[in-house]
Amino acid sequence: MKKFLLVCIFLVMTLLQPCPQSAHAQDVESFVHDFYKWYLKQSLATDDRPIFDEAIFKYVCRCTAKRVQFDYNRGVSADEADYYQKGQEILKESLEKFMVGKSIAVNESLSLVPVSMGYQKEYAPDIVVYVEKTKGRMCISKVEFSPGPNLRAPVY
Amino acid sequence: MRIRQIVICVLTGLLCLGILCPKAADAAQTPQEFVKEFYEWYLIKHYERDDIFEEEKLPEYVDESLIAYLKRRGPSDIYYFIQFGSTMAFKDCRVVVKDVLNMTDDVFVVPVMFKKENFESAVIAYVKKVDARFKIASVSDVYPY
Repeated sequence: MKKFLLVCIFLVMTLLQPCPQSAHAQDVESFVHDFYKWYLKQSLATDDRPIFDEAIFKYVCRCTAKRVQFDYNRGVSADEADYYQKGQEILKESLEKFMVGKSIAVNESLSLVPVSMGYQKEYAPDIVVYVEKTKGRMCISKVEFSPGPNLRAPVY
Repeated sequence: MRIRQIVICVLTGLLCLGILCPKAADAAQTPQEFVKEFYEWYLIKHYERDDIFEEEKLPEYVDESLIAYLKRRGPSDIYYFIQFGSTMAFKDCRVVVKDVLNMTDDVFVVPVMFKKENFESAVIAYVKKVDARFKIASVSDVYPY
């Protein structure tokens, strides 16, 4: 009887262990951190915005990345700022000092992540990154500048 | 005699706290409470009025620069505050507000869910604190780009 009880306890404890796959799943904050690290590094290296780099599809949802490329090609930008960085200049300090804050969930498939671009010494987030989660994959669906309203040009 | 004075002092203090505390709680409204209050008010007015900009109470909730921008922009197929076209779907919806992002310069980002049976929609409200009062500074949809 005691042996049976021990086996039962062992089984329950095994079932309660986190799934190995979910343990390795990347969290939304580190995903956004990886994106900006890559984006700022590429921008500084090539002296041009890496919006046409194929690697952007690793981080950004296809429709968003394509729309940003489309607007860049037709010379349309709400405030002439870079869509992902919301600034006109890519500074070396940004790569060293940008910070990603704690995310909040809108629903099961969408999270919002605050980002501080590092123009100031302390954490001062003014970028909101929208991250979609579908079929276990994350992608950035929108980037907004919190101090100003969304004035993007209509596509149609 | 001294004990009587202390008891009177304590009772007076408690009475003052009882009167002042609810007001203090009102003053310390959170961005989420403000957004919920705004949308519960807005959803009623949305179906009562043809033009929300004629509503006198709107500037109490919405930043003047946003009102000016929306008036300048003119009519649109999308109702700005719900980011949705003409529909009865929002009538009698529950307004659900949970978390908030604290941004720099007293800006707060508040996701808002509109829920009822067989319908669910969401917008993201950007709220600014100006002179100790919250105002809606911008509203975004949750769709890509």
